[in-house]
Amino acid sequence: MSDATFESRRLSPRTRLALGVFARYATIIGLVGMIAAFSVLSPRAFPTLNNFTNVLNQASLAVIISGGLTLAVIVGELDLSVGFAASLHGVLVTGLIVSNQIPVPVAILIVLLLGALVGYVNGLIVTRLKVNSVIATLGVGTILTGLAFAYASGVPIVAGVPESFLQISLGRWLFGIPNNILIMAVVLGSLWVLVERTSIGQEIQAVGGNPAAARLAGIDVARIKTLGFVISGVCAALTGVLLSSRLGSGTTNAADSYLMTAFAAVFLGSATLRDGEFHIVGTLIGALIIAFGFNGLNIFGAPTFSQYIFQGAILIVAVGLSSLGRIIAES
Amino acid sequence: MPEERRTEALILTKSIAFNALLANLEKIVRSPLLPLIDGQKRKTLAEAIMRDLAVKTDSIDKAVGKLSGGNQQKVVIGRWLLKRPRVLILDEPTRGVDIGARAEIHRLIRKLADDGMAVIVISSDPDELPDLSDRVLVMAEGCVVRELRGEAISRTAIIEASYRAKEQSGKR
Repeated sequence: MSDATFESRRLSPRTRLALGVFARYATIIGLVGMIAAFSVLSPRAFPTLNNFTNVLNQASLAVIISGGLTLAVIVGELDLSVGFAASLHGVLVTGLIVSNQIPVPVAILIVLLLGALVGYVNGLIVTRLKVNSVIATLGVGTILTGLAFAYASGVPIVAGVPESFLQISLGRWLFGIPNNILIMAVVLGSLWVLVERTSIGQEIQAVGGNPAAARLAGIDVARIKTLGFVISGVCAALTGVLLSSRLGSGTTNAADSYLMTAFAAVFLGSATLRDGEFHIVGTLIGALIIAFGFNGLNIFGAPTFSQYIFQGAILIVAVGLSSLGRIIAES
Repeated sequence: MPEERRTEALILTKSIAFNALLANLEKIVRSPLLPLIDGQKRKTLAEAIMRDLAVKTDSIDKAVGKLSGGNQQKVVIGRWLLKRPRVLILDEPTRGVDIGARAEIHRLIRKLADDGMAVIVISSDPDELPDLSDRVLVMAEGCVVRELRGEAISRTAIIEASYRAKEQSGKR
């Protein structure tokens, strides 16, 4: 509060307004600018319906895991376990189908419930044991990695993956749109309705905005925070399932790198349209920026190392924009 | 109603309607089983609170942090009045509130009490209580040291009671 006030005194009203507009629209301008630039630089490969569908399809898993993470950060916590959880659940679902001969839908349901359980455990550790969420979820995530290795002995489960499981990611069951895009739309739409249009969503936003005030308004803060972790856990599990279906295997560590992507998307999103507030539409835009960025780098044949540099840089820029938005909001 | 309005009662970046209805979400959903917010109910109820408490604003969707201290406080009072409580506890209801809004809040408290609500006002401002109260319990060092009723309630009586208690505990 006092820092923000101090900052704002040094800014003239006009500068503050300009900065505010810049911070709110910078990400959208960035996304549009990037698409425009790639279209000009690579008019044959980039701006095609095929490529855009491809980018969306690629982005869909990142969007789902980022959407779940958004719920955890809205309630004011960080969930570092999402990537590791997705990896474990990807291995588990493949194992259940291949080794235990469990029908595909049942296996998926089991894994999604386990995802909810992981989120619930995260929530209990944070709200009951009062462990800082960064430490708690890092610990849980590491344990999950251990479990994935224990389950699969570090060897990818490849043989015997049924076609019906692969078809989830590869199929186009509606209007020729890839299933992953459809699933992404349903998940993200549901999350948006939950946060923006339900009473539970109001409680979620209140807990994130000011936990003390939320508690004194009669909201069960621990319950709502745990719910944020549970949703994050389910979305991570779903991402793991879809990734295994896309890869055709259950591979330990396969989804670990989604952690970075999800955080970059969520923080980019918080700098979008609202001043430093996390929200679902923002997360979608954040995830698309990253997806189109990667796609462009691929099309221009940029070496692998540049993708890491791009992702690290974008995370820092994202958090910077997000806190700039918050400083302006408080001034 | 808590003492620290900005840190304990309001979510400053959220709208007036969001803050006013936060403790009454069950009143604005379509049904208990389908907790979707009914935009019409939300608008009607939030505007009713604004009207009843004479909150000065052009829109219920404005961030509550942009209101004056007095109007912010009225939003918080409105939040709890909507629950139709039998007992209302107000902790420092006019701290950081300008004189005009302070008088308005005092009139409101008086009216609620006259209408039969039990209102407990906690205040560290001895000027606030005389106009407002039927009965004052003066506390010092965590204990009730004096009870004042009716005509006996005055600024000097309150100050005297609280300081005498401090002196005595100092001697001990």
